[in-house]
Amino acid sequence: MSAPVALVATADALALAGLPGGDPFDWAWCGEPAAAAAHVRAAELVVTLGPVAVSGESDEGWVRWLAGRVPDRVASVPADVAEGPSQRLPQRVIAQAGAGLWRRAPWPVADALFELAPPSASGRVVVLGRDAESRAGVARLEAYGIEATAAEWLTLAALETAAAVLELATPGDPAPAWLMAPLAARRVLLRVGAAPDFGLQAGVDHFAARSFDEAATLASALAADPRAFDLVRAFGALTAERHRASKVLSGLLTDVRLERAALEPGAGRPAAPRWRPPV
Amino acid sequence: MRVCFLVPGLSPSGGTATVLGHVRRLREARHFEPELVVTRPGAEQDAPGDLPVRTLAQAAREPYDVAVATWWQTAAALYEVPATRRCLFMQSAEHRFYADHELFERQGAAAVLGLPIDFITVAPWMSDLLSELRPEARCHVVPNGIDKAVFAPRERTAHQGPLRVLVEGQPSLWFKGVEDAVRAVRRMRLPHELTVACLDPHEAAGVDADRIVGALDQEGMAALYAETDVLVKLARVEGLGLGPLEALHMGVPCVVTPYTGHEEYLVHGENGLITGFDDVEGTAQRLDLLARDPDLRARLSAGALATAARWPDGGDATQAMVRALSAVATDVPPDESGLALLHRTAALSSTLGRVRLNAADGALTRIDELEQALRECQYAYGALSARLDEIQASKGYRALATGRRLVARVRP
Repeated sequence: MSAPVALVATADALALAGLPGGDPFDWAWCGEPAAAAAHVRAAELVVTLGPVAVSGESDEGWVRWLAGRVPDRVASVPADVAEGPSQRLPQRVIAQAGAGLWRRAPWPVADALFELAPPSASGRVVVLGRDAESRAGVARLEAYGIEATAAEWLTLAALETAAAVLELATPGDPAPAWLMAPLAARRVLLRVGAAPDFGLQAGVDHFAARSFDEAATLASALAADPRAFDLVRAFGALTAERHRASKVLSGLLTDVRLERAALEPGAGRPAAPRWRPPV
Repeated sequence: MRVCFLVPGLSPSGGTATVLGHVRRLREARHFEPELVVTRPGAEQDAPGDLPVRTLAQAAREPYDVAVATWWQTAAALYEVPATRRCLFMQSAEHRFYADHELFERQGAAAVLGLPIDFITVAPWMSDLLSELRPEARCHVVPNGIDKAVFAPRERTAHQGPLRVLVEGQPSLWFKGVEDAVRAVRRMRLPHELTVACLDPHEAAGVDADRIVGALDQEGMAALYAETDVLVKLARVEGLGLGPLEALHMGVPCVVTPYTGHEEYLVHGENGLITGFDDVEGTAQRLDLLARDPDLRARLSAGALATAARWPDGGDATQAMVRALSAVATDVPPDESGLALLHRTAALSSTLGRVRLNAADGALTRIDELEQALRECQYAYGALSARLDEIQASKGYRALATGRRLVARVRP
């Protein structure tokens, strides 16, 4: 049986935002572009993460879920149910910022991240930001006696070993696409210079530091007593739960079906897979 | 069983109404003697006529079987009334009501989660959270009941014309998301009529609605739902969210953000639509979809009534409360290991407080430096002014100035 949903992305992106195969997720196929052709042809909803393409396949009607701010020329006209039936299935663009988006959201969070084992080292911090800033951040954290690594983009491997993720935001830039991943994995999220977004509540599910030193003080406190952050970690996971990939993808399938029904009055409305809590 | 419900005051609010509803119905239950105890001096003056209300001093005279705190600021009073068992009736995780700068209130509210008491919650997510934080804590879920005589389905005739949108919530409370909801509704492309219903319409000045209604009782809200096509609730913090539940009982589909508690009743595409936080355009598109598609509205409305049929009424909820209170009263005293969470909350508070104080200290030091620099500038300015006066008063300067004036006169 072909899956009604196909999620196409690189392996790194799928590790943070995808679904495992098999029951109870057999309604969604997740894989890399090279293996996707047959699945996207059979799927009712195709979602791509990042700028991937499937060779030989048109992206008409697909949901393109991009990272960052989308330039106006890239964000296509959204499904305009207000203006009547259209002959063309619109491309739907989701991103964290940009004009003309279909939806504005961070990437979904892989269901598996909610079950990620705690880090072995209690205080390791992965610093994410532009290259020079994150490297400088690592040096400053090490001066505080905190073990740290730098990265420009979050990966599962980095998340596995980290107790905290420190985001060095650039003023004016939107929240990163991976925003919810550390929270799902019960890692403490420290944001410097970032505005709350997408339902995050500073001080409840993450920390918004006004300076690097403030973030470093919190990282030191985390290394000294990780359990003092239990409440924040628990609320972080609760916030990330809204972005669980299985919930988000089944919700998108419902959305697309509802829009198609509105655009094409004769179209039926098969029920989308209803999200079931993980056992 | 003698039970006291500790409330800070009796001003109207959804949380207070829930507590009053339980007390009223518990009075009709066999073997229960519920009382309200106000913890704020003078609050007893707002007592409803049909319920016994005591002050803390009055409550100290006779022992209770169970004392129930109903808001974090009433938790201390658990230890000021004589009671065999103590518990907290949690209608939300209340520290989330406070903004990041309200550090002390936030940490005070979070601290109650570490008290060595039992918990009664209105939604499972709070019990799950407590189980994660404190596996030993005993939690009983007592969902809020809906008065099904008031919020009963009414015949909904097909409505022609603009989509009638209701936004429910107090605009002055940031976490109710009223501003977000109004902005999303106004971003719709299709015609609509926007009504905002809140507790205090005087605090809704400046809200861009076609109509603002306030202080409605349950019958008034039911009448409002009856003339509504869709309820929009983009709250950021909720324990359960009673407004949408009432609307579902009247067959009104809801568009909501995924606030905590929504998962108890809202199923995307079955009785409403779930939209993202901070996604104005996406929410407006969903509303346009509803405006365009009356069949979809009808289907979601039928789904709403099906959800409502499964939801408990006030009597069911109070039966659950009876069971919960009975368990609290008869179980062994709660484990005290939760105190570890309390101490950790205090420890983290001290770190956060120190961070803020360091930042404040840094700012004060900078202010001192700037003030010193200002004083030095003022001193230099004074010295230069005095020197200028001396120069202007000198014979040489005056002679030069006179010469300049003469030259200026003889020039053509």
